[in-house]
Amino acid sequence: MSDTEHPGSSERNQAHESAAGHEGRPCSCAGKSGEPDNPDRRKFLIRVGIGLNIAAGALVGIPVLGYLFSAFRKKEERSWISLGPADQFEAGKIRLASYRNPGAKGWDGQSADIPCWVRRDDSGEFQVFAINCTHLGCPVRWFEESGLFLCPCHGGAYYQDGARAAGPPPRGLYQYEHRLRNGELLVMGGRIPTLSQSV
Amino acid sequence: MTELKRWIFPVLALALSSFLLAGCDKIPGKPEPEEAYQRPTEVTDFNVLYTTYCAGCHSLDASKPAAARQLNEALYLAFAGREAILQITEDGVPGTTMPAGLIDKGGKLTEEQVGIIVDGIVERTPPLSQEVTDLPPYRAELGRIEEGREAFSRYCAGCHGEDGSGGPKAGSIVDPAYLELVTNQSLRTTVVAGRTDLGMPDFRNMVPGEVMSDEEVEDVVAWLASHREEPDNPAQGNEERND
Amino acid sequence: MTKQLRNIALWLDRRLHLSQIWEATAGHGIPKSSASWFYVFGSATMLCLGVQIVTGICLALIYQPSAQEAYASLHYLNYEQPLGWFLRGMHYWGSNFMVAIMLMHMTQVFVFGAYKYPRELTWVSGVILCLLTLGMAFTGQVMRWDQDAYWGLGIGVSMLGRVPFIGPELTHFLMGGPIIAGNSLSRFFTLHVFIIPGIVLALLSMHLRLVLSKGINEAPTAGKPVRRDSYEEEYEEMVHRGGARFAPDAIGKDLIFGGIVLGLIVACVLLFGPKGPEGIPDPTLINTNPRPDWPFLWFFAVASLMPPYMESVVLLLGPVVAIGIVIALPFFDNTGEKKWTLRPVSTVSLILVVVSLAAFTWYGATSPWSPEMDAWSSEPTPSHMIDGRTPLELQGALVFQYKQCRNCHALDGIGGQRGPALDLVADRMTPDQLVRQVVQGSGNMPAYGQNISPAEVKAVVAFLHTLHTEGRLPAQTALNLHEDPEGSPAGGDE
Repeated sequence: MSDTEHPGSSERNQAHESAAGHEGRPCSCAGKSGEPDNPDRRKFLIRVGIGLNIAAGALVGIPVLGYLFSAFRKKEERSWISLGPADQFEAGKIRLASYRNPGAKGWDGQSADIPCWVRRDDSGEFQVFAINCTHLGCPVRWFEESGLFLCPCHGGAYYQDGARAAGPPPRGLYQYEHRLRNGELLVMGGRIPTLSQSV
Repeated sequence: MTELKRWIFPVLALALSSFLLAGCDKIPGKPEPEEAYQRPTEVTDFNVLYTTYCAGCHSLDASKPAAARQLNEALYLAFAGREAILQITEDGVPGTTMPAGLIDKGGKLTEEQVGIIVDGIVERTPPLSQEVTDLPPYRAELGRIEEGREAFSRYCAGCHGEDGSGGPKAGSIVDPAYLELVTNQSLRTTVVAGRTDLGMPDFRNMVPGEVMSDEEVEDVVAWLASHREEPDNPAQGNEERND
Repeated sequence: MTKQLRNIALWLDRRLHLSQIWEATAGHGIPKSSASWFYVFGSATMLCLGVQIVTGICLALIYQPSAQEAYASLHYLNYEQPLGWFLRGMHYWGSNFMVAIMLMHMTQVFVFGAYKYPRELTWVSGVILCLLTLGMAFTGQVMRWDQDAYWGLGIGVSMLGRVPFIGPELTHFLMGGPIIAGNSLSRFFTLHVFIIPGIVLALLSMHLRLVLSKGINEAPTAGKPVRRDSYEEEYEEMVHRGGARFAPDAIGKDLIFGGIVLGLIVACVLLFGPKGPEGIPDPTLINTNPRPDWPFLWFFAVASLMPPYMESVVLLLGPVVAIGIVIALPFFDNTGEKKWTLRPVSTVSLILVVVSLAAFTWYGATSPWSPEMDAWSSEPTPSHMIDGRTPLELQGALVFQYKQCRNCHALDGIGGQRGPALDLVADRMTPDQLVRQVVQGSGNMPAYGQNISPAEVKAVVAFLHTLHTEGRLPAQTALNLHEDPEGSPAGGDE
């Protein structure tokens, strides 16, 4: 290892020498800006340099951090979305519907098509359930024959009104806020539901 | 010997690799486009569709008894006809365990897929060994109950017992719970087409040499249906059953 | 000619100091006991990393990290790009081998006590490298932008959503938006291609540097405990007197093992090919059974076998605690014996961890708690359960299929395993108990009372009552004055 250090250190020495040589020559600037060997001046320059870099680092870093962590700030992304005419949903049935997520980007492709379960009970009242199981978010499937929603991941089961029936889910299905306007069924959607925040 | 050692391994390796390359027209790991994922609604292979959606009840192995009717019987096909089978596959039979197939009706199949299933069933069914001329129509009104009892004791009692509550070879077909779960049409279909997979003969072979007439079939079904307990909601029940 | 080439080589070496670098790195001294077959896993892991870098760069030439295009570009790689499937396969199997061999490496290091003084930071950097490799495996699974990737992310989101107070913010941060969509894929692409590999390379340099400066661990001998005041001298002695050098004394074994690993990777590619992409990443296609790749199956299993009351705590704190313990290991077990036979606690813990991880992985792979979502319409009732049954019992068999009982209850070994198999249910339950079980449910079985008619109950119980051991009477209430103390064993509490 010591062999490899030699060329480097000699280069350093050379550089030092040449710098010294440079200093030795008469220079118009040297006299004006004070003694080059002055240790106070060296310290001052280092301090200014560090300070300048901290300031510049902040100028660069704050926008970068702000850019990155802007994803922590949540705007209200939800809005009312139409699931189509209300009378396409038969009373007493549960059907899969889907909507394009509000605020979908052009590059989202199919991933912004969000499914949901629309239940219309015998009296014509609506319930709209999120597709995600409340346990770990897998897509629940409706089985009309047994009147159950079943989750393929861990076997969570829910009754037709969304109440938890069996298995690991800690609560019933997430439900969308919904309303009827001009014969259309609207839901308040726009985000994936989790235990800390329903749809 | 050392000479041999030096070249035998490269030669062996070359031979093996060329053999492998020539012998395999396909590398097992290479994915083929045909194996790529298909949307469930784009599957058009009859066998896949039948296996996924029908086999649970109608069975895969035609030589063994199935829970619901085997769908490869020539007599049943001739009796029901493609139209009725198509309609049942699309809409299901409400009130029974036959679910609707079409997506709009709560099933999972497109119209095209239902067509593929029905066509497949028709195609794979062997033709009737001989023309059946006296085949009753698929749909008919209920006949007369009293005459039905007589026809029952002539054609059916041998297996199902004199009163229909079970005999030496077959169980009760007058159990109200059973009758609640089947339609009159399916009783009629069973009487005419039999359940050969379960050992129940068709309408020509209940009693050797005697073919059930149209009226006798109607009467037997009427007699069987008369054993239903009146459901709490008669309107609804009748509606379902006349399907 | 050869002389000229030799001169060129010598000239280059004088300018670039290549042989000196080689001497100072590969030629480092090692204890003789370390030139063994147990020491080949680290280099093989690094070899896999090399495979991953090369194939990853190649794939990035085609792959489109956009939610709209990713799936199509994977199809292109599989079916149109010449050898695209092979490169995808290499990348997939390379990652499998990398994770597997890395775990072997870690196990070997643990068994040989190599994490002890003075190699604490070698271990810590290795643990972080292990986590980063798993991070690569997970983010790589997201790159395969298919249904499993989409719903796998969904599982991650659901877990993060359980974090108290800042759950919504965290999930928003993870997905880069309110839903799993284009931004989520871009984030995971950035992690997979820039961030994690960058940290891996940096940490790997540190890891290797530490191997050089603190030396490779000697194969331990019993009765020679590590002492802080004397170990370094003893090690120096081992290396300098009767020691060996990595190159040329030990490197042969690494080369052979590395060659075998490469051969196995290629063989796996030729035999099994790349994985997926499976279903189209269209969330509206809900006919899917999301499964993580195998390194995470054990976690999938743990998540499902846990009772709900401890779920959030274990899912969130469990990893933190486990990783904390592993990282802290060299600090609370810093000196003493290295030989595994004299470290009973460590050895037993290792066996426990390995066995439980293996068992959970096996469980995750078979996932008996998952319903078979299509069993009701695709798995025929076994014909011997149909033969000779009454019309009502036959209707019961149909009801059994129709009400999706089969999705959770197997007959003849086929069907869901979530609930108990019912082949011999009549041996243990009377008709009354069966009725109650169907109508009221219990534990993991939903109550069917609202969704099943009396006739259907009667039929399905009549059918179930025929399922008993041949030549033995089915269970009857009248014969059994004392109620079965187990209550309803078909409750399905797995």
